[in-house]
Amino acid sequence: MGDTTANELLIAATASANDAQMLCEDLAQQMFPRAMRAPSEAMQAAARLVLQKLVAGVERGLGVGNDGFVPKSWDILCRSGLLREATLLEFALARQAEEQISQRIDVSGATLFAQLPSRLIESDDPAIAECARNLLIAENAAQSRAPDVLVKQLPADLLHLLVWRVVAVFQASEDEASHRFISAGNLLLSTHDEANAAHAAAAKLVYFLPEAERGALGDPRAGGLTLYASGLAHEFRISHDRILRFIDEEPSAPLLLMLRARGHDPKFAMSVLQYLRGQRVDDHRLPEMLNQFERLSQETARSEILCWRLGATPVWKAG
Amino acid sequence: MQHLPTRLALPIKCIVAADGSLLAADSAVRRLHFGNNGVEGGVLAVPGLLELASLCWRIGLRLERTVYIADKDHDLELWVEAEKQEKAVHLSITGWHERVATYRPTLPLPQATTHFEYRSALPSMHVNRSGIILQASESLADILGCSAIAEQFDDHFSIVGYSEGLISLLQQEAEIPNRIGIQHLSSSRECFALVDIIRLETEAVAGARLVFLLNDVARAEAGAAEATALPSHSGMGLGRHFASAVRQPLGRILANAETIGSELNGPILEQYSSYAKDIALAARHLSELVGDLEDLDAIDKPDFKVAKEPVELGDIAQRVAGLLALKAADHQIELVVPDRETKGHVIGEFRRVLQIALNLVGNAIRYSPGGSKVRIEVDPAGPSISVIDEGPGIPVEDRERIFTKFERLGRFGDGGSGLGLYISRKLARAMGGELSIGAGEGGGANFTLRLPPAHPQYN
Repeated sequence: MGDTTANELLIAATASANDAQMLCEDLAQQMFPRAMRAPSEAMQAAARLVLQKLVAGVERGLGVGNDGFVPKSWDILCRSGLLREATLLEFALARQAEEQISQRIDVSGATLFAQLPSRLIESDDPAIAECARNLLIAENAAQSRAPDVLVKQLPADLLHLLVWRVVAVFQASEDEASHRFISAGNLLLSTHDEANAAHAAAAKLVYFLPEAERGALGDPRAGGLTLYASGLAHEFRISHDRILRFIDEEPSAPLLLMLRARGHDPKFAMSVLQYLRGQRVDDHRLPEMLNQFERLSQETARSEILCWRLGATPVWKAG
Repeated sequence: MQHLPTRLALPIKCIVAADGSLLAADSAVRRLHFGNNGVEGGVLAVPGLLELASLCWRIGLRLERTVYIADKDHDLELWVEAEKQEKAVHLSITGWHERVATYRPTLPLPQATTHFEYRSALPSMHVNRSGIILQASESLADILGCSAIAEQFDDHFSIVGYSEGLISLLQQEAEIPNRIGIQHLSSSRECFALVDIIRLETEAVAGARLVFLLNDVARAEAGAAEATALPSHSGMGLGRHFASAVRQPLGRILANAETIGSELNGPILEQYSSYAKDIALAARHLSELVGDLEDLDAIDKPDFKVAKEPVELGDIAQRVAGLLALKAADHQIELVVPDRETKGHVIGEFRRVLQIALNLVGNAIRYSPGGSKVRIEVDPAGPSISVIDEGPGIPVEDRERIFTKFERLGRFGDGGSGLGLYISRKLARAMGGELSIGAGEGGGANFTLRLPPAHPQYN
């Protein structure tokens, strides 16, 4: 078989696969009319890796040594329904989305250096300066994706949930009743301060940001991804993690809607879109995006986002 | 005009006990509390603050969060720090931000919220764990009438998008959603409201407090718009037009993929053949899903009816085995069918009985380990048909759940839609029968379809 035939077949097969995928997505949208599609298997696998890292981080915090990649308590945790904990999954999927967006920003050659938090370190307001410092430290540390760093990014309630699940596994496997793990769990929790997590620092910064600086929240190039997502989260009252997933969502409709709801002019909105979506929005797709953006009214976009907020609980959507 | 968040020079403080009661509070919190029909020493009547305090008490860690509160014509966004101390949670509000509800939907709205008009205080009611209304604030009592007290919540309201009712919702062990849309059943006009649920599990009160968020007009209206977007019977309303429109392109995809995969136009590289087979498989799954959705649309309609004709279950068993023989062979499953002398005469609709049996045997093949057997048994006395597999079985606690819509018991990627058993049971009941599940001898699943026996004249 010649290369040409092979290429033609590949093109035909890809086109058919795309057709099928679009039909699946349309159907899924009809069945589950929500802003975000169900995570694909690839996303679930990536989320699983994030959860593994979290468990490894917690195990390390409890003083459990591990030579292998898979945490010791992993199998039991999986069997006990850890992977069905919606809040943990949401966190893991958001970290996955965050990594994807950051990679796209890197690939597009954009600078990672966000000016706004760096400038705010020198703010006269000590609380603002502290938040900016926490944000920069947390963002910098988060790049390593190390298990213990990931644990520090957890909101307190999620860490609480995870720590006691892991402790229960080790407690159950101890021959004699031992409080060793309980003490270690308490210690791990008592040293955790969620205010040091990037999203928490960004949320506080966004809340208290002086009016003169608020304009920069609309531009991810000025504030960085975390602060940008927090700005959107504050404006639309949707969780930070959910916003990150919206930004990463394929196709770009959720991000386009958020940009429209904010009332940006088309040129600026497209530049933000290209910055955050990287190669997913190439020069061929940009005119199509621009067309969609211009056809959409700001009121419609706002109404749609309001529905996302109201429909945040899937049970009501899925019936 | 939009105000900016204000950092308070002196934080506003309040202390909340473990059971949620407000022990002490500065005047701003007291105003919110009493404005929401809270009582002196009673449970903190500001849902967002109560939620944060409860979380802080439960996990014992310091928290800092934005808390959103509906307050008259404004929404409040507060920056709140929560810290658990010996016997109570101390809340400290350091940021105060009032903003007008900005995002008002412009979608066409029905005449809604006619009774649930704007009130300065948030109406609320207490409902016990059995769904009985114990107490309702004055404004709600006006709407409901005095007789509603001590009656079932579900007799007066329906929950949008959740047909099981409030009792079922409160009895769920999982965390329940904290905001729901409800409809007042007795109103002559459509009347919707958004309601915050605060679960109460104190010694004195077990159940929930429902706070009606009606002073936030935008949200109430959007709730109505969202509620009306959901068809009352199926939640989807895809209809036959949609299914037929989708079937055509799907058929084309399937035909093309199978042509490529079967190398009818000449040999191709193995990997391309494999891609094409994947596409065909996906299209086939999708086609099945479209069929399920079409059925779902039909059976959830109130006027859905089935034909009543004599059906012979032994014949059904033979046909199903014939139709699924290849699929079983693909999975290395042996199908064991009753001998041709075994007959079970029932009344039902032939194609629907066949559909149920195909679904049961198809599921058994899908979830059974290779090398195992799937037995189809017919009981003439029942009369019933059973499908028994040697798979992992279904845990007792999940046996009713698997008959609910879209329930997959955590399984993904196997091509199932989570609709088959829901549809099958609905069909069985529409024919006057029942579809139930038990355990097979080896621990696998045993699904039994019972149908009304045929009159002797049919035998």
